[in-house]
Amino acid sequence: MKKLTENEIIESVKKGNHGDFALLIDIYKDRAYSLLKKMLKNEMDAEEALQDAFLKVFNSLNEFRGDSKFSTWFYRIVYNTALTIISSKKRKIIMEMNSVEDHFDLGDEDNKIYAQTENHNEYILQIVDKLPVRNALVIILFYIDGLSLNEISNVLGISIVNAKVLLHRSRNALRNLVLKHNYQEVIL
Amino acid sequence: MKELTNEILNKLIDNELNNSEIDELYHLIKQNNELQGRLKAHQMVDSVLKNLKIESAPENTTELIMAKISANILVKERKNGLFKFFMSLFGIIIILILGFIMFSEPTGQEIIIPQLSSVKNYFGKIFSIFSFPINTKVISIISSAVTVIVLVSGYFIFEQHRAFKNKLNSIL
Repeated sequence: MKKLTENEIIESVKKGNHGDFALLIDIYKDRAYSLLKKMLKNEMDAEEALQDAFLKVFNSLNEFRGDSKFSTWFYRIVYNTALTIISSKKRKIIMEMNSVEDHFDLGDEDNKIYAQTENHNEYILQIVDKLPVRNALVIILFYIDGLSLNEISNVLGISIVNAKVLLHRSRNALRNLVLKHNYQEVIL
Repeated sequence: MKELTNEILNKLIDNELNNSEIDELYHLIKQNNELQGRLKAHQMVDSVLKNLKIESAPENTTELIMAKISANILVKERKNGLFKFFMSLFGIIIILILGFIMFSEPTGQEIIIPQLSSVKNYFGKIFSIFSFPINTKVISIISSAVTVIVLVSGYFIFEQHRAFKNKLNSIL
């Protein structure tokens, strides 16, 4: 059977072949789930948001004209769905959303993670989970989803300069933590 | 290049430095262990982040979302069908009432209002376009036809409703 490209799937769904939307879900569900889990910090909420986001995508697919990449349009919907859930639950995360701190005060969390992890790899991955939401999102969109800074700025509704600042500050903060624990000595 | 700034480190990671700038950077850190450590740490972070794993969504995610989409589509179709049915029924009733008013025999006791009379004449002219003799027989034929149409529509609406319920049960 011929494998459909992303654009062919979108056109097919627009023409009324609703079953083909399952192919689109299969392509994006894991990435969207990763993003939502980082934002909502809760599996149940992430699952609920994932379903809501895909329903919204399906219902507004006819509005997608292809002016931007589908992934950018899609992540924007996922991001906004998560924001709606966050604002409805008035989480602490809202406060974090505005944070662009250069140094993250992870305090006891850092020491706990350092004590629990066996190597730098594990340590950095766990610390990413503890980053402020927007910093973690930029990292995920840049490294996992391969979005450019321009695309990330469109998804998050911020300027390219701010997207770049968030990415750089996140890396710098992680690097400072690596230096704090002398993990760089691992590399010979 | 006089010092190793965060900006330069990030530019190096993002391949935004040209060859001469890279040479300059390595020359700068050559004799400085602290700077070498910073560069190593920065590269370590970038390397780990490049290997970030995607978390898998729960197994039945696709099925759940498709079921919700199917249910939404069915509800929309049902609403549209019901709307069309009621609009048709309403239209038929209006036509029947108009027809009854226009072609009913005058009783002699009705109050003649000139404006109503002219409206009646106007519609009478329109209906006279269908120039067939209107009598009790024709009216009973039309009534029978309308009854059959309503019954058939009712049957289809009932079938549609039953199919919708079955689909909904199969989804849930």
